[in-house]
Amino acid sequence: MQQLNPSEISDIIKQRIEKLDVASEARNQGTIVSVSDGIVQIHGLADVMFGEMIEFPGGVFGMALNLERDSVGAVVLGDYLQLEEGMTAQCTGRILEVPVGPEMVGRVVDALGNPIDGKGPIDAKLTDAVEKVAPGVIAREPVDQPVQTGLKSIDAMVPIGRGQRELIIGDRQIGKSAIAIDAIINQKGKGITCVYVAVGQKQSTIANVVRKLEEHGAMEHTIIVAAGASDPAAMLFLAPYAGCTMGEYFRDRGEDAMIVYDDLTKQAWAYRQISLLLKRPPGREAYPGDVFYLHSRLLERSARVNADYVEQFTKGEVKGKTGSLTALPIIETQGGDVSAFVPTNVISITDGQIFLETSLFNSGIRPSINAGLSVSRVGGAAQTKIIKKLGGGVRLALAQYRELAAFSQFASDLDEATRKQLEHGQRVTELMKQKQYSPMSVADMAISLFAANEGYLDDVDVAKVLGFEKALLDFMRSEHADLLDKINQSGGYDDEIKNGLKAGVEKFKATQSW
Amino acid sequence: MAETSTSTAARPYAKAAFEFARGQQALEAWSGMLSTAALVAVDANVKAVLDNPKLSTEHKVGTFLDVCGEALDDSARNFIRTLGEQDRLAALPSVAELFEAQKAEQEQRVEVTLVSAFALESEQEEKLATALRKRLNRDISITTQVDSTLLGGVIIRAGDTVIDGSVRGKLARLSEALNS
Repeated sequence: MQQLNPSEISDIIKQRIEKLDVASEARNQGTIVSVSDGIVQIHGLADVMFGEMIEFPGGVFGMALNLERDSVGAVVLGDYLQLEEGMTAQCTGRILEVPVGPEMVGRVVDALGNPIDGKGPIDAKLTDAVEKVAPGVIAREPVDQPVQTGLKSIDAMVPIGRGQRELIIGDRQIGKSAIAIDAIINQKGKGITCVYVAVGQKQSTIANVVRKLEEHGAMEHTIIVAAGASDPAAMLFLAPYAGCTMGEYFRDRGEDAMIVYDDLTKQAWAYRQISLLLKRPPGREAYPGDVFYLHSRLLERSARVNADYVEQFTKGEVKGKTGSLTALPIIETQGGDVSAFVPTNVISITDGQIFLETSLFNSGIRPSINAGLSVSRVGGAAQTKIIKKLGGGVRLALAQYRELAAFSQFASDLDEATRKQLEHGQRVTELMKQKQYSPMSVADMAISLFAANEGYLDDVDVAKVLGFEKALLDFMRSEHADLLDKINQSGGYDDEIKNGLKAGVEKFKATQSW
Repeated sequence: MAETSTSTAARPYAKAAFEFARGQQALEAWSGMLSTAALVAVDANVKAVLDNPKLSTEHKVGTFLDVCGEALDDSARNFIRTLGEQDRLAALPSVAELFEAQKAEQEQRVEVTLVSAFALESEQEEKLATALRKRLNRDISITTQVDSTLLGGVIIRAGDTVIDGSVRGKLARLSEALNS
């Protein structure tokens, strides 16, 4: 807490009094008819707009969601226990806005943009509407630049491009958030600003995430928007939109940003709660009719926009730069059921999904990515050349391995070719394992994939594959640092790099132990 | 969707009554008749009759019309009978209220309430009325109230629109600005 002396306090108060505008203006007013579970019915307010902020006594705000002939239904954003029947409610003439800008980076805020990290007020210069319409077709540019997540299995098999929306889906407790956190950590120094939206999570979990990001120096490029499990449903519903608006600030100014929605299932639950309390008719799984629109309008705002759009938006200040907002929404399934309502919706909205499986997680394959069901519909065009070249075999090897592994359980003796394929598959599976909070650079990945592709792993014991990889990477970093730098910078793949890698790996195998 | 409120039930009746009255050029008469009927409907004794499940609809309507006596003309009696048949006599106060609202709308007139800390001089009131007439672009009828807790200034209420120029309101805004 900052130290304040009494004169400062009176200065602040003086400033506030000076800034206060007490001019009386005509305002639309209504009376609260009922207050229940965060929903307020208001009589009057004839001129209210849909989604407009409504002011209650005591500085509490609400948002109008139901406009009926005689009354208005609104959700309260904040503490509704102090509201009573008969109190007045006023229109504000504004729709909901949150502070945006570079000042937000490194901070933890709630769904309305108020700081909750105890680091004092945020001096944001701008605010922007929470609900906005996504850029249209004319403003868009194809996705062709990669986002490096730093996870071998993702960057090799389901590459993500800037502006893409890649769903992370799976049961509880199998590392969905871990993937997203690793991806955020890996953006350090890469010019991508990250927004992490925590919806309906325990406060302790959110605190843990913040601590881990701080430990890895990732808070310097990250905004955290948190709506915890104990916050009102309206906040949980709003948090993703608020986070998206903060991310769009960077997209619209020709920069790159990435946003993680952790998770959208909880947002859908919160919206279901609000809708049922507003007495909207329930549909499948008791969700309201517009639950698809709830997610589609949010995810559609993640996009890559072209230079013209950026130039127009910044009125010529930023020229020749495209902007992007990459989204990593997370959906939690129940018992691996991807055919439930919300998972199918979000799968169909996004440009691919990373499918995590409990059985894989329990058998020690972490990240527990199911290579067969995970896809990236646009990322291929954005993949780094060298990873594309070297990682192409991984998917195939794993797919063949899975088929053979199931088949070989019934066969006692296998021919040489099958046995070899099985063994290769085992090694690739092993190689795809990666520890949490240890993202890899492009060059690191390239070396690992090169070793697997060229068969250098074939004579390594399966249990020792990860040890081999670690020793190999250490060796390459100390002996061939210039080659690694070259790969990291260019990302290309040519004979020179190929020969360099070949010489390095062969020398390692000849001289080192693992 | 909110549950069907009495005003939802009353709306078609009020509309029908209003259109009939306008057609007959009898808006004032109907306004008077409906307010009388509304007062009768809220009377405790009449209410007891209307709520009594043992009595038939004809009996209830008959009693109601007897209570109203000469205050209603033939068409208004028919209107009450129709309401009675649909078991909507309890909605009469809402019908009267909605009728008045439509009448005010038709006459381009707004009910304005002036709440002031001290009794207004007629000159001040006249000044306010002229300004409001211009602002709202309507004919206005003013009701004044005195509320000393305002400390100073006035609050103007015209329907849902409220102009709060009171000292109390300003102080409340100041305290909110300082506390936020």
